[in-house]
Amino acid sequence: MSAGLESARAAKARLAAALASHPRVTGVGIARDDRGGNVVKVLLTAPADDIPAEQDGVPVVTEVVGRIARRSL
Amino acid sequence: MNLDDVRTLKQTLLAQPLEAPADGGAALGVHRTPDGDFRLAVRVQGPRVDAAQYVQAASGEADVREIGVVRAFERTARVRPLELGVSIAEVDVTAGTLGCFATADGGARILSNNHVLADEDRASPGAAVVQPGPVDGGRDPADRVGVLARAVALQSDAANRVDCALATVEVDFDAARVAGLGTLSGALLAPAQAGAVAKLGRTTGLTRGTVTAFELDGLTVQYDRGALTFDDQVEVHGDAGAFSQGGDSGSLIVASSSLDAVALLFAGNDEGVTYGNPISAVLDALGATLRT
Repeated sequence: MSAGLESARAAKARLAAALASHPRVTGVGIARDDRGGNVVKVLLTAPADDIPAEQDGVPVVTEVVGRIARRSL
Repeated sequence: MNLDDVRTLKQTLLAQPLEAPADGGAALGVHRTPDGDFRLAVRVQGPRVDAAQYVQAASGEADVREIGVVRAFERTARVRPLELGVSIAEVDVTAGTLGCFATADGGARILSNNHVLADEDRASPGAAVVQPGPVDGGRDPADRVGVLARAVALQSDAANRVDCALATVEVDFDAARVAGLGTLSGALLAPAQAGAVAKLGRTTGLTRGTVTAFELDGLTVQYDRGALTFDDQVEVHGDAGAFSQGGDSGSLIVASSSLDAVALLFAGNDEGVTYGNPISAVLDALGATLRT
């Protein structure tokens, strides 16, 4: 199961709004699955078990990326 | 020749060099032909190498190519003419990477991050930019290559889309060459259309990766001035280890095969996961066009 780009964008916007105050969410975007479809991707600072597996029928994936910083020295 | 015979010949020749000019001889190896046979690979590096003697030693079964001088990719050195992917920074910054060259305000400009060329908005237009960056030994005025022209201000109270700035360029430069990769196409590619990508940066050099997310909103990134939020960002995972590390900020992320420009690298985590601003948003925000 995966979605077209416009469906994924709509689902992303709704999920981002729902997670706006989530303390561990550090970004919400779109990713390609291995069949070329689109999924919503949630970036986390630490594992969280309350991220839904799908939003409006679009699969949701998560990745713990931790702390992101600018890349100068 | 079979593989073992080539290896034996190679070892014999290396043990008794036929000729070793001080300005470079020939490197020897094994060349596999399209039909699966093997030849002695002779890679001529010096101007006075007599390749014929290697061909004779291999009874004609040699693959000879002129490769000239090979330099290690040293991105922290002083490089003139300027080119993409080398260490650069405003004089009060440690070091970042020269992303690309642009045309703006009627002239050529160096394009990199605000936090590389404008020190997170602490530098004023006219501040010296040095190559290599100060942490790599760059000093003003000896290594000055231009001055800060202008930056897109970073916002602490609203979402950012870009971390970018322009510097003037006062020395010769090559806007198209991406060392080790090829020549910029001059075209831009939307992150949603990009798959395999590469970048050339000050710290990790040439790395390859894959776009693993795009249109990322609410991305929290740590700066000296605190945590800033970015919308519409691109995420890249390295294909073999980190795609970037500290000092690679400002690198241009390009599509691996076409060398279309995709994004301007600006952030990442300790594991090497990397984030960039779509290059079209960067150029729009600066009123600039990509130069090749």
